Amino acid sequence: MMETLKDKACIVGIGETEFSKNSGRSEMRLALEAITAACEDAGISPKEIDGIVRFSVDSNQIDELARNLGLDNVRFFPEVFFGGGAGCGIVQMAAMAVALGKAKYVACFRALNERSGFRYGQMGGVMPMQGHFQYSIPFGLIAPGAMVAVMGRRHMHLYGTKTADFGEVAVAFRKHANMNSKAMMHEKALTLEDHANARMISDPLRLFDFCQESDGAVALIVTSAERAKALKQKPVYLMAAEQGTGSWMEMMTSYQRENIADLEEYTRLAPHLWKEAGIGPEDIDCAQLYDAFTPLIIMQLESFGFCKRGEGGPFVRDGALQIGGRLPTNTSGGCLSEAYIHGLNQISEGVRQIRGDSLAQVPDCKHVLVTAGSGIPTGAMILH
Amino acid sequence: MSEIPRVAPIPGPINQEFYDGLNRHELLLQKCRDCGKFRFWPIEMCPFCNSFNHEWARCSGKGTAHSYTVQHQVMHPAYPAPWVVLLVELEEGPRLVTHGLMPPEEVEIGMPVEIEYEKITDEITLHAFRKAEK
Repeated sequence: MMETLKDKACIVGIGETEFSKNSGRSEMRLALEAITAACEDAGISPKEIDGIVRFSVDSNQIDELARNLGLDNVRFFPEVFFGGGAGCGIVQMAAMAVALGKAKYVACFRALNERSGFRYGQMGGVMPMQGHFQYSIPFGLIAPGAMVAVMGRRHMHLYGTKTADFGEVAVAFRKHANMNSKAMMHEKALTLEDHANARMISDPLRLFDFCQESDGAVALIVTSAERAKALKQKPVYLMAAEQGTGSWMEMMTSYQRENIADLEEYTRLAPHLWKEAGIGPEDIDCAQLYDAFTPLIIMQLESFGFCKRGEGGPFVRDGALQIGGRLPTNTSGGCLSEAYIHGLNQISEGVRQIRGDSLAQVPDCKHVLVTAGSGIPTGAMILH
Repeated sequence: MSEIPRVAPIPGPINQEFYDGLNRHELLLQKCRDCGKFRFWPIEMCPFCNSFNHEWARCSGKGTAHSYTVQHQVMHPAYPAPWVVLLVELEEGPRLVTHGLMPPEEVEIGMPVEIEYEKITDEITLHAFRKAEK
């Protein structure tokens, strides 16, 4: 009887396209490029893929992917909903499948032309007002960043968090992007002064509190720990993986919960995650945290126990999230400064940190925490 | 009503009473007939006691600003900047996202607020909140 997923599955291949504002090609093409690159990285033929896990919001369907790849027997093809919240969940699905023998090599991917195509930040103008967004968008709360601004403002009120703390987050990830030639913001420096003087978008959030808008794709190959040992790369083990929701859960506007400055979906999954892994926050060498907007990082640090509730602001000060700081975070630049591939680029960076070949390598990196999208049903995992 | 209409919700069976109430300048929220608790937004079941029985109960229209944002980037022409969005905690418990009818510099968390009504199309009136008079 298998009682835990711990170390039963590995990420053995990663593949990425370039990240840009206009890919000039279809989302299907991007997905196929990333998946075949991940196979090459793993040292397997694409024909060996017998499972595919997709984001529900991805435009690419399993059958068309399989037709393109020439796969005639895909045995496992679930999908995970809730936008970027699917990021770690798709890997968890894949890991469970390979651990139970339901598939041998599972491709997980996200491909999107989010900048040249449909831009999520503009959603208020185009979404039909029938779902729960009818209770926010018609009142002028239109974009996801504004929805998070309401939570960030509450965090400031409750705990004394400063907008300069949001700036520390943006500056740290930008420094990492400056080390990563693939990052969209690779050549652009950012200081705390730049952050504080940037134009206000959704008070208290300014321009550099917002993530990139990107075109691109990332894919991962997941297989069993047994098979991983025979492959090309150093296996990166899934030490733990969890999905979670919180109270009064709704996409981006869970405003009925007691504390709207608590990303409860992480707070509630974190104890399960630490228990499965058998380690705690003090054992994490670097973190790849979903960073659509800067306040989400401060709240996640609290949810996962890197500091107490309300102390996320002080935690990030003095470069704590930078290489050499107490918790190097988003070492490829994250969604804020590398690219917005719905958090899949943070999983591939987590893999590189464990392999030891990140462009902003944390010395002797043994354990990486990766999280999926914030303010939505989400997931997290620990790689080692 | 402004020349460019605001984004309007599309009422359905689950929330028709809510919008009908706003058209009559009444704020109606679902209230559980079994445990007596209010909830928002409209859903089938009481999340406190799992009862399907509910009534549409009139709220006082009074509350406090629980949080807010001021939108400075225009996202849609019907919402000029700066545009105040409030998250109001009603006396009855639930919170509403709403349009704040006060200058941005006067918004603060904890501020008492009262309901107003804004007609945005022939069919739809929405709530908005202003500073409460002492």
